[in-house]
Amino acid sequence: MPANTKYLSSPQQRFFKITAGIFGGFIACTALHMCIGSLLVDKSIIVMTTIYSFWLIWPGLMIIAFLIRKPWKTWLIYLGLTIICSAIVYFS
Amino acid sequence: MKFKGLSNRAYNIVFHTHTVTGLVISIGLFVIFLAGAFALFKEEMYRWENQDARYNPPEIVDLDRALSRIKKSVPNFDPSEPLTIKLPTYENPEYIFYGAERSKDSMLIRAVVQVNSSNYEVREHKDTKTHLGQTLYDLHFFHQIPYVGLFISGFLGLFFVFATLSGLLVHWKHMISKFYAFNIKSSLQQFWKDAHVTLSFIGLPFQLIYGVTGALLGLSILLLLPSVMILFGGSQQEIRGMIDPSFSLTVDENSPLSDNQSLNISYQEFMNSHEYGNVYYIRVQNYGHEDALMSFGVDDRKRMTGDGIYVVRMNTGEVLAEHSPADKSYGESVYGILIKLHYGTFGGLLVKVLYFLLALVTCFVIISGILLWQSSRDNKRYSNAQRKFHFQYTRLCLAICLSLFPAIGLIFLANKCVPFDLFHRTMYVNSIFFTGWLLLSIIGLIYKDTGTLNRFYLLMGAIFSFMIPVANGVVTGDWIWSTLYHREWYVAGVDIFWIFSGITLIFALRNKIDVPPGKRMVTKYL
Repeated sequence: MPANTKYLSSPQQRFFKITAGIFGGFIACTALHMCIGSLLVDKSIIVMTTIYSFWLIWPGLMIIAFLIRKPWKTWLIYLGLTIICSAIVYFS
Repeated sequence: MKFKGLSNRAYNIVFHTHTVTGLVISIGLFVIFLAGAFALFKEEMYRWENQDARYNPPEIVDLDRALSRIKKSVPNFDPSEPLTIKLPTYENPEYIFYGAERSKDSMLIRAVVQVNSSNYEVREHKDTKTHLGQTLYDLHFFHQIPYVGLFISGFLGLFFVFATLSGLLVHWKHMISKFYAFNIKSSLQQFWKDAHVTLSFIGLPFQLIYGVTGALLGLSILLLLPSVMILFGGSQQEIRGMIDPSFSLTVDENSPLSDNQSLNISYQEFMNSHEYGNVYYIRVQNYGHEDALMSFGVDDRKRMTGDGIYVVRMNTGEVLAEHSPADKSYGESVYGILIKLHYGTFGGLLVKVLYFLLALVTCFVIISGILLWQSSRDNKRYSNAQRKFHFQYTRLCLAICLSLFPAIGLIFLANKCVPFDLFHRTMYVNSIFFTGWLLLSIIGLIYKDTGTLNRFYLLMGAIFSFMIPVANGVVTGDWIWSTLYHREWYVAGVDIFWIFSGITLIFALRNKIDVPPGKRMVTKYL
């Protein structure tokens, strides 16, 4: 019943996966929502959607972070997403 | 319909994260759900907790008289500062004015004042006689922990969403095929597993709602900060205006004074002109000035979008901004819907009762998760030291969590037994609650067997449950036959709940489940 430990990562990797999931996920989730918001005319509507979608997407990103084998790849993906979204925000 | 489960690697990873998250957040989450279950009825319990509130609210609302009485009792009360007034309802027939007073050196201090709506006596909230509902409500979001309590509860909500989603992924393959699986004849581990899985699947929508709304209420600053900075260049007004239109209008504190302003006249004009729901609160800005605004918060407490806010210019009666329940836009409705989902203020009392039962189910899901974890590692694959640690942690969780229900019974008792005229009685009542909870936890830790520990708390819960209606009758004279006869339904309801709870606990105690020695939780490792 308990998880088969051969699939789990070492303690060092775990720390990086957890931080990548929580902090990286938060930044990516925020950037994603802000990016959608900046493309809309009436910006307060996206905030009203964010107040519930954020708490569903952020844990989703946290789960994905655990599934990606190497934490640096997770950071790469999440920071990349953030940079793309920030660029969209900056240019609109 | 066959569901494809996760791959072996993904399954084990998600399973492990679900386990670890569950272990970390369990105790806090249990407290949140049990305290929250009772806090759902905070308003309905008020007549029970405060016997001075067992009168009917007036037919005519006299806000001006309440305000003038407040100005006499609290001399530096400044009504031109933003003022929110909770109107008397049947559940809580007092006015509550949330305003500000100016201290000697012109500093603004928050002033909360209660006004009895039958004799218009004024009492400052810090001298309030009862704090039962408020204490349980505060416990629900850890308000007793300074500064970070709300934040911590928000994070528990967030990780609860994580645990729910990861649990759903783990169970994905067997969602349909094992929906009815419930085995009480197999091992203890199987029993806890079936109970945990079945009940959490049934409660999944409820748990997701509370994970999301709880995280929102606790961690809203994490959303507001980036949104305000990035999308609105630092201005909060548009977002606040979406939630409450009175924030989208500005008033000038230097505008000319206007005497003879009457809260009553504006209120009557508004009541004559609008049709949706009852007014629950009024927000007054810049009272005494020409541009004074009054916002009326209406709610029909039935529909999901039954709430609304109308902002009225006091001197002219003109409606300047509104979120009307009939035609609110999406953006204007969402926040209200999430609040209603969280507080259960839709669909009437039945929804609150269902919410209460589901909250108890969620508490069971949390406990069964811990017990499932412990029993599935109670085998030779783990060292004795590990098994001992698992068992100690389980006992700690059970002691803290299961003692909360008798402790809540204790605060209901203390609410009646501490003399009503004692100065600062709320401090004594709250102290009895928290020290009682601590003592009950410590006593529970003496029991080496979790079965005996549980039965101890069931017994304490049953004893307190039966004492509560008796205490209410003895202290206030409102015995249950009297309250039923006089149609004090909410007061009788609280007493009936505790009688029912006592009977249920007695039945639970009588049905002793004999776990065969080989399957009992191992105590010899202690």
